[in-house]
Amino acid sequence: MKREWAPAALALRDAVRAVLADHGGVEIARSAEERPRVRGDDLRPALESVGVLDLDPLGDAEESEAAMLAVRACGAVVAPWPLARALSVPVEWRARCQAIYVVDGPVSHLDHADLFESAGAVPLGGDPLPRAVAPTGSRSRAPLDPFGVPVELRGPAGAAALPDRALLMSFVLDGFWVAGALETVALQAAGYAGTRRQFGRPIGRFGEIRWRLADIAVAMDGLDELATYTWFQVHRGRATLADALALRLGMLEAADSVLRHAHQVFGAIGLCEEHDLTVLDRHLAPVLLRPASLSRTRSLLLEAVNRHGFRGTFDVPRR
Amino acid sequence: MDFAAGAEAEALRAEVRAFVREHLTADVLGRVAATGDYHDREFHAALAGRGWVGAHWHVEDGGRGWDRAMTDIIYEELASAGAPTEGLAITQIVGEAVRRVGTAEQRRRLLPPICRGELLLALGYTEPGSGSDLASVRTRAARDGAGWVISGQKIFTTLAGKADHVFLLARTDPDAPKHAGLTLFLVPTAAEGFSVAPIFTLSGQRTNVTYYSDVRVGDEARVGAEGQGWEIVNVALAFERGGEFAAQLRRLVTAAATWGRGRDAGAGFHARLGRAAASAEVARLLGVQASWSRSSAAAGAVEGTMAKVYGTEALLRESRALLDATGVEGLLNRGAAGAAAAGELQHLYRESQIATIYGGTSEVLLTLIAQQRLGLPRGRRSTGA
Repeated sequence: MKREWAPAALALRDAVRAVLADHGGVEIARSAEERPRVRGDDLRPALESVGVLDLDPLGDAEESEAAMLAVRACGAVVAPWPLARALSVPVEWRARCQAIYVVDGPVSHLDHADLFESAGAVPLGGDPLPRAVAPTGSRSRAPLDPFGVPVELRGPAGAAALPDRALLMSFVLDGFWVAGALETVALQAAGYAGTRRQFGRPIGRFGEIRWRLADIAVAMDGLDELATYTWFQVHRGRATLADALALRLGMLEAADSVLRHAHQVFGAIGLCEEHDLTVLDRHLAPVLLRPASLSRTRSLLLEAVNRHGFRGTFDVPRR
Repeated sequence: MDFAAGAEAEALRAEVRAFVREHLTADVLGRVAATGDYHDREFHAALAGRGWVGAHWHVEDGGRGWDRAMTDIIYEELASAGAPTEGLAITQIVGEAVRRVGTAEQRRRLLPPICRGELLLALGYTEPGSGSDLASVRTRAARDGAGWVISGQKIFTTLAGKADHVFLLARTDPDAPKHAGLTLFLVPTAAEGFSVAPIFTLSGQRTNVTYYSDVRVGDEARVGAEGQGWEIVNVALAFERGGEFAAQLRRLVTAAATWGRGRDAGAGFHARLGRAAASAEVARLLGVQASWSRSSAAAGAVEGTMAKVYGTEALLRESRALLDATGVEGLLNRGAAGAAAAGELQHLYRESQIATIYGGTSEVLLTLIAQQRLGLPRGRRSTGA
């Protein structure tokens, strides 16, 4: 077993981090709500400048690792440009398709759909032929869906079906994006617990807070491991939809735990719009419901396990 | 033992519902959404016009001498309908403290105008450095002749931009032990040296930072004895904690049930809705218990604490579960086309995040329950209660 990321992937991650920090970190997301042009005018060129838009998650291992870590770095500041959607597009399609959305059931809004001239939506478990995504109005500006854009799904966006691996990788990219965001939450919560003093000492000295921080750490590390392992399986072509949905379920449960505990650690101050936690929470909400909520993901996972079986510690044969 | 509400209570419930239909207009809701203040002057005046503010207070205090259960019905119906009740709730909390420890002059001066809807009060306890550890407040009130000079800063002074007074916890004796040197004042927001800055929260609600820069008040602004602040705050906090979240849960269940009707929402949704309905019922009953205990010597403090912990944790849990069950359409704003449950679930979800924090965090309150309900000894950390 080798558990280190490739040095080139780590170097790219650091470059992405640096360029995002230069643009304000979480502040980019906050400001993009008021000035949505920030997404295409500032953030996209910044990401392009470090070469992440050309990465192929299904390319060689080093390039794929770089893609995962770049997405994770974007998630860490909930960067308001959908890198995961752009990298979900198979490389050979990119001249005519800029983003791929995996969808489930009726679709009325998609994140950042206004940024692309040509995007495709692939229904889960349905016809793998992408359908054209057509924005039909302006952003909803909902606090929990800040970049949701009303869309219609129209006819086929091309003649080819999305390869299975690309569809599965879309889930992996979401997993890394959320893992990045949760790591930021965890680091900020732990930092706050060390400096916020109540009853004469840092709140991190109180058992109630330490347990919450420990729960955050376990949830975050669990998601990281699951995302990395699922990436490994998908990249090597050993995964099925069940693996991708298992990652999504783990991701949703981890996010639920981390956000719940972090809010309690930060208290009222963490619920103010000026605080990063509120921005991270609100901007995570869409990816936690699209393409499928927790309850829907559970149902889909069960169907997928029945269809494909599930290889893990206890192998489940398909039915 | 008789849990029945009686015909009078049912008639009041029907009257409040009719009131809501008449007065909770799109204009009122629009103003609330635009300002982020969960208080509307016109709506509050209409409530007072019915005699529903401080209705359980004595007639000489401006009230109607009603049973407390009757005012609980008013609050429950208003909150269940999503009416702006924060001004009503906070002003009554402070009024309760004035009723208990205020001078005869303060009772005459403050309580009847509260009942007439003419006086709005805000709570000024929390400071940037004093949240759960409320007794560590640093805002200073120093004697100045016959009056006081107040200097400091408070945070989360909700409605301070509209209130007439802030019920302010200040340190009057810096040399006394932490809990002993605190005193309460009703500081007029019109006083020179008082200023407000807004803070907007995840729920869209506005709260405030308030600044006190050598604000001069007379001794008539002091509520309760000098040094008695901590004791009074604890009584007032007990009144802050109770069954109010049961109404929010009812609102949640009603919104989700409305969404679920007429569609195949699936067994998972039904299970979540059922669980939320059961939580709403338990929260309501714990609230009834707390309310009934208000007349006891301990003012129902532990019962209110239990109702608050249960209701807020349930609200957080059930709103998250139901928002998840409605899927992405649940994220859309109130009034947006296609919004699941008319945007109510996402709004309640955002509102519920603060509930387990203000008026005592769940962590602090669970410790109090262990001590006060179960008789366990205090832990090494004093929660101050």
